[in-house]
Amino acid sequence: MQREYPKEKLLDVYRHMVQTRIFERECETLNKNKEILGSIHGSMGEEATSVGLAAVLRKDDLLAPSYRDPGALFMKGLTTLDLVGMLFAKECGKTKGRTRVLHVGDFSKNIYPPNPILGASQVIANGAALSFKMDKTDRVVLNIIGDGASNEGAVHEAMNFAAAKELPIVFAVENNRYAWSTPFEKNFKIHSFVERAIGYGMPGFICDGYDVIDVMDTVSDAIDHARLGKGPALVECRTYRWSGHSGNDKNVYRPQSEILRFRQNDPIKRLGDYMTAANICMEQELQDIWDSVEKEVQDAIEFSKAAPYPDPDEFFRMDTMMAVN
Amino acid sequence: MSVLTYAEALRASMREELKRDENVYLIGEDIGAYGGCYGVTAGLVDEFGEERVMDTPISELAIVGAAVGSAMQGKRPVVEIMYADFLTVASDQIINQACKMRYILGKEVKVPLVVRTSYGGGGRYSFNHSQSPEALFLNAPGLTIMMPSTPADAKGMMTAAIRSDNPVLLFEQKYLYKTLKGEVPEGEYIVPIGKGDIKRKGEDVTVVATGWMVHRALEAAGNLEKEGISIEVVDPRTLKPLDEELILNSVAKTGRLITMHEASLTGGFGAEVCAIVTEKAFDCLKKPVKRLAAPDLIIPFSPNLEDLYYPGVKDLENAVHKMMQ
Repeated sequence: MQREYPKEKLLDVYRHMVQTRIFERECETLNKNKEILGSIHGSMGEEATSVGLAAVLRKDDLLAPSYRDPGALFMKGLTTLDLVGMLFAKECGKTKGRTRVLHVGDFSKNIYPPNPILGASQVIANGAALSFKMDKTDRVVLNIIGDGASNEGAVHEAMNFAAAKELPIVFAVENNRYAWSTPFEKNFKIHSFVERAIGYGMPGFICDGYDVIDVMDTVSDAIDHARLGKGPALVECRTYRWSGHSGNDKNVYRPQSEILRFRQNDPIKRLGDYMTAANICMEQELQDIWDSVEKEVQDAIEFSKAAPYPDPDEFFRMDTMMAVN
Repeated sequence: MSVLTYAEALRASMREELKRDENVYLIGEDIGAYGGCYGVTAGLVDEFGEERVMDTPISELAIVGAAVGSAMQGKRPVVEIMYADFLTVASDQIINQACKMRYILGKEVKVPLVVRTSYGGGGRYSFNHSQSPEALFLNAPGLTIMMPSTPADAKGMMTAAIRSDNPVLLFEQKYLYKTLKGEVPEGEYIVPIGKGDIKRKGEDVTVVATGWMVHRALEAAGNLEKEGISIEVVDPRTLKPLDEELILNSVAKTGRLITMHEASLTGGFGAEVCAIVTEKAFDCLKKPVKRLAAPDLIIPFSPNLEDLYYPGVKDLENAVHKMMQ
């Protein structure tokens, strides 16, 4: 269903897409220059999907993102410094050097951590939905799954469980066409995740993951369904990642022309062009957003570089760090 | 005091906790109308309803995952995993998820989760319905592991587990469910996590036994007493965090240590106890430590083989004789 979004909302969405893009661009550079530890899992190209999904959540709704969702994390309230600090494994990062970005969560902001153990996030997200239902609230859980992760057994258990228990949860599949290097066609005999939704007895929606407004409209329909107590729903967002799976992925398993084609369909430019064409805002307002986000990210990088590593004494004092009785 | 079976004592605790705290709920396969595979939850659904005594699809990952996700929201789920052998199916949720959430999200987020499960032999079910996989979980930081041996302990430890703010794995010995009766305190009764118990005082040999093996150790101790050998039977009750002091004090007195459990030998709980004692009380030892355990073989079906498989009363008596030479 098409919905109306005020200018402020669209600019906010645009800003978070830009924040995600610049963050990912810097991740790539820092990784290439070996200035950061671990690896990165880029989401460039997927900003409309990741940001759009989280953009329609209420503050008290719960987000359980995939590990490739800085857009959703930023949209739900994490700051640039929260994530940039984590790239450097510094005390100033959200988890104070305890984890990589693919484990970041924030309970006070209703964000459950993403999970590099694929499928784990789905069954845990169900639990939040179960408790929302037990407490007779109208809160909803949005859980994001990659197309690759969707083939985990846990995801099957989770979707059937959610349907059987009529849980208020929306499973959003970010179908970016590649499970690491393996193309969709090699991993699936279905054409759309809507087919799976039908198999579990829940409605399935599909949207253009490069059109943030279509993402917002469609996931809103799914969330309405869940919020009204009608049980879970599934949304497939057709998207595409420009980068490899991770920082170590040489990204040579697909034609460069394919990447180029999607780059020409840049979801951020698409939203900006629409807003200026529809006289929602001036070109300068968009440029100001780019400039201010650029500064914010660069400041976070400089701050993180200078910031201290976590205190070993605090870490190894088990009672402060571990769940012990 | 009232005389209850081991299973009735577990149920008494769950019933009291369901009445005391509306956040407590039970979840598992066939625990409602059927009352659980071993009848441990019999009748509770009639008293508390299907939402608090919740039947589920056969989906161990989804069950434990939902419990983890709801525990983080303030619920206090008590999961039944029908057989401990099935824990491996859900072990990602127990080891990688439940134990890590407070680490990721901070101490203020609690994971008051109990996973209770039937373990061990005596049922004539062969492997995959008879194993004792507690040692698989000993190496998971953040997990509490409990193994009651008497009806009173079963009740008091279950209550402690439900009131813990951290994940607890509670192993219930399936042979003891209906065969073992004992006096159980009425009303609120708590056996604190991490507190072991001297089940029989003695002077010559310390036997650290768990679950069903406590009873075999007591029987052997009775026989050996007639020969003038005095056995101290130590039941750690909580395997982790372990009541080391209780064990070390006992060994300081006797100078001899035998461990005894149903699980197989290599890497078992007994190995951990022996390591602790040799590390911290080596000077007290008059003889080398001894581990009694099942062999590193698959649990057989034939009753004559199963009876030989687990360490028996005679095995312990022989080990004691050898140690006393």
